[in-house]
Amino acid sequence: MGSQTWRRIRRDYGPYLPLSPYLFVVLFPFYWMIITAFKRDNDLYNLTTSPFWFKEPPTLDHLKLLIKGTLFLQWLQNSLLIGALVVLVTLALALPAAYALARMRFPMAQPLSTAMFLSYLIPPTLLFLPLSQLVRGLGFIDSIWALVLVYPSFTLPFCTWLLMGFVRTVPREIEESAQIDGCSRLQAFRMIILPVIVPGIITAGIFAFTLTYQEYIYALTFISASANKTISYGVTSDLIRGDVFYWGSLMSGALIGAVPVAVIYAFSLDHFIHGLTAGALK
Amino acid sequence: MNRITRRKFLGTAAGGAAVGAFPHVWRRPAWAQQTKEVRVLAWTHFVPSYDKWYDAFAEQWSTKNNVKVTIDHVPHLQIPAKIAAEIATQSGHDIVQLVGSGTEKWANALLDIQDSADRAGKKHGGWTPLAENYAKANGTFHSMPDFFIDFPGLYRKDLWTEVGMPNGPDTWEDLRVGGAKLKAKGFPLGIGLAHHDDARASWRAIMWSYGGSEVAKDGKTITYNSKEVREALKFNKALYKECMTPEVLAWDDSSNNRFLASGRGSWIHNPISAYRSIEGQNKELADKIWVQLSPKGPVTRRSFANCRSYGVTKFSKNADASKAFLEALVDNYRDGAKASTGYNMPFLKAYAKPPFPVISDDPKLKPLEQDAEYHFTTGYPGPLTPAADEVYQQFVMVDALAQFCTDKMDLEQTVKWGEEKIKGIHAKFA
Repeated sequence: MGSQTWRRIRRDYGPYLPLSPYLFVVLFPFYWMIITAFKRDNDLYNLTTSPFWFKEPPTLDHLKLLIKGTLFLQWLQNSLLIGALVVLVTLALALPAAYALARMRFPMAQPLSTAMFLSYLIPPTLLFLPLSQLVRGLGFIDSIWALVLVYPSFTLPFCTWLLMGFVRTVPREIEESAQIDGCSRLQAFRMIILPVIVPGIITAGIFAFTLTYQEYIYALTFISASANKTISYGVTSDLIRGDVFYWGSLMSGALIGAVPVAVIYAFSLDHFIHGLTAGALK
Repeated sequence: MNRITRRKFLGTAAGGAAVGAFPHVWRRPAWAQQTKEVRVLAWTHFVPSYDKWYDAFAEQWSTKNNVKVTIDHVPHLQIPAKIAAEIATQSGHDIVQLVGSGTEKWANALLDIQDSADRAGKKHGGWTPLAENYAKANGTFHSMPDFFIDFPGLYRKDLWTEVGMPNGPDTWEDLRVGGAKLKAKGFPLGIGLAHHDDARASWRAIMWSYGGSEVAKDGKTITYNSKEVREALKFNKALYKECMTPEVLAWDDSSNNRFLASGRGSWIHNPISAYRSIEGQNKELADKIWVQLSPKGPVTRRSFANCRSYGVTKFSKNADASKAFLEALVDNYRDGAKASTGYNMPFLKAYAKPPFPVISDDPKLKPLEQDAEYHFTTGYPGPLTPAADEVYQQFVMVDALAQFCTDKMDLEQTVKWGEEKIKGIHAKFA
């Protein structure tokens, strides 16, 4: 191989070299999910064959069991719906809170924002008992509204903090100019702040959605009826039967469940990256 | 050509969510429904056909009795958290399944159902001592016994025939001798030695078979520091070193199933769920797997029973209907056992006699007919107290043994460590 060819290979493919270990780590679980979702059980448990490829022809049996033998599509719909509603609730509450904490001067502002962040650190395993009483009091037990009510308890603190960073990046002078031109504070917030922090809103929305989408403990505690389960709870409750794991169907469920999140990230990637970097600097 | 823009995508997604939410907005919540309803919290059964039968049975009973019965299936490991949350809010299911931990632990939140248990018992020859131990609290039934899960041995007949034991190892010592030979041939045996259900069941079976126990019959005197427990520990270490591989230290409840399904495992201590799942995956291998009695020790033959019963919650608004449903469930035990493909084991004396559904018709499963005679549960030889349950839940025995087997502690240190842990837990409940 000539030195020129070698140089060209290094130039064209060299940048991929440091990237490849990372790609292997993040993509391997998906590869494993795909292989297991279509592998026959016999093939999966056979220790004498390569676990990374098929020895026997692939099968759709696991997918059929998932779709026809469980309420998977209903769980998927529930998760998407709960995720969308929680994003709306979170943004509706976090945006004014973030604005108030970042912009307005009032007593206890700093301790309040710290307390809000600290509340994010309380694990759901401690909170589910007192929250049960709240959910019961409102008559939401065993309904998806229980989760719509409870999930903002962990999405709100995080998203408020995230959005506070974005609000601080908007120069105070722009907002003041708008107010001099006749805008009320609310109008300035709506017409000046909100359009500027769109990347932050999208970032907060994505975080709220993914945190909600993967949640398990509250779903387990507040939901019992199969038709109301979320994807993370439904798949594990119906496809892990004591010491019998339906690996193929579990992986099929995980694979299909990952699609909506992947689509949302794909459509919002540039805003998301912008949001992360912009929010990091004032 | 229509291009999907981000704006269009987000708009469509938001619209979709709104449309999706619509039926939920108008769905009447449970509290607003006026029909008489009994809701049952039950585990997701290891055998799917049982859940199908159970749901259908509940529906039939509902129609006949004009009470809507709904069964909510939840993974068994999550049931205690669910019950705890419901007790905290004093609301939720009318009937809750108690999975393995006994009744006394939950008794304050459950109704005394002695009258129901008496009626069911009288009809079917009376309850076994195991059922009474599991379902009674303060001397009366606070839950209705349903069935227990046994721990027999599952062995590869072809491999054990090669080492001169075609019917599997009859004693634990036979298991060690034959197991060492099979390990040398590349077919080790496996008993999990980690934090999972099967481990705490199987190693107790060996300890009891060697005459050892954690507590005496009174349920209070700690007996872990004994000659019998030392003998059992020494045997367990030899079994681990000679017949197993260190992978058992990282096992969970599904690992021994996979181990047997892989064709590499020669013997496991497990309910027949492992055999049933292999039957569905690999008929050729399943033909080689047979079921045997749990092996005998130098003192006796004992194995572990993982029990299931149903309690009626004090906050149930339909307690009478709940009790009537449970009595009907007991009456139809045989149909359920059939649907469980021989997995459910009986708590009533009339059902504990052959012929058993499924089991008696299958020569491979015939040994299971004797299960009720030698299966005992947590706290043996004493009662299943909350203290005994906590020792079980905290994996004290498994942790002690794992440290001994991996040479982190010697025999005396192991016994002392285990004894102190058990005493500490019992002191909390004294």
